[in-house]
Amino acid sequence: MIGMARERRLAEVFVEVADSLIDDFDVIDLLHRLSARCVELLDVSAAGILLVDAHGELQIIAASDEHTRLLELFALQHDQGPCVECYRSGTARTNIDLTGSEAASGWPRFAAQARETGYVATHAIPLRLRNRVVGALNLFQTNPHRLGDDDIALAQALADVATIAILQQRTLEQSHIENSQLETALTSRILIEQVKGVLAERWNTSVDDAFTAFRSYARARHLRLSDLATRIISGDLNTAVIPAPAAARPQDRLG
Amino acid sequence: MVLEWPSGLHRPVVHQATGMISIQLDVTMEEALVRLRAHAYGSERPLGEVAEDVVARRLRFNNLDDDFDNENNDADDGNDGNDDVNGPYSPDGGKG
Repeated sequence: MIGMARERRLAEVFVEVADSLIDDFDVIDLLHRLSARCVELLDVSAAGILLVDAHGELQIIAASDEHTRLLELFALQHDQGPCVECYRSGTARTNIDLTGSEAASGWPRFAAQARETGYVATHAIPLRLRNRVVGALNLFQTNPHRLGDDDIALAQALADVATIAILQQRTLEQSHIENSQLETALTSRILIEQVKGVLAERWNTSVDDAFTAFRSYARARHLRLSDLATRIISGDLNTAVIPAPAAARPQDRLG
Repeated sequence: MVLEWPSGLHRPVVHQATGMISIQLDVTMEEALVRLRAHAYGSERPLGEVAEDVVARRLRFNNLDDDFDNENNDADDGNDGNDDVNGPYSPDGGKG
């Protein structure tokens, strides 16, 4: 079966993450890659990681892809949806049927928007830090195969790795590190969204295309997304040095 | 029924719009967000909805008018006045 192949791939993923953790790593980029690995290993359609902010609300920090439509679906769960319940109860909510009446009556906005985006099932796995829950891993499926106990255990392991990654950020020597690290990660997320807007406006392209070009530039130069975003927003970096996406010249491309 | 967003700041699109407005007006992110909020407040629309208009390029901010209501807005424009309204309040999240 595919079991052995998956096991090997899983080992590779954990090695990849461990390698990242010893460097001065970019938490947003690592969590993005971890989300993408969740999609691959669990055979789901999309994955995202939500973190609790200082006000006790869940915020999206990274996702398997950066399409605004997907990000907005995660963001919708700041006050309703399976992630909120998972966060509050501290237990996983799995194999939730988005087409059923339970989802529709429990979380009408969330269920409607998820279905509109093409998803029929969802799962929420807690991000646990000792006896505290600091967020949730959220999975979506466009086809309704059930995730079994092994899949859920794997999802929880990946969620635990995400928690470790978030807490491994730079300020380890501080006391009360946990809250400040959550805040730092969430602030990085906001800076990246702002940069998408800045570049989209400069290039007259979509925010999603702007992000793709931004990430390519960062990767080619081994720059952290959050550092690059900070430099752009503070005006330290002239964005003209970043190659614009092809779609930035709409008169050439559309028509 | 209108879907109400308590603040809208959790939505990626709000921060994307802020980035766009900062270029349109050549202002800081803080100022851009204030202008966005002021517009939402002045037009009595949810912040996220106005941000969606900015990102979809149905709404632009420009500096030709001091008044946030008077930008080239072909989406909707249901009010006037409020020259010195700066929005309900400034966000103060992210301290630490």
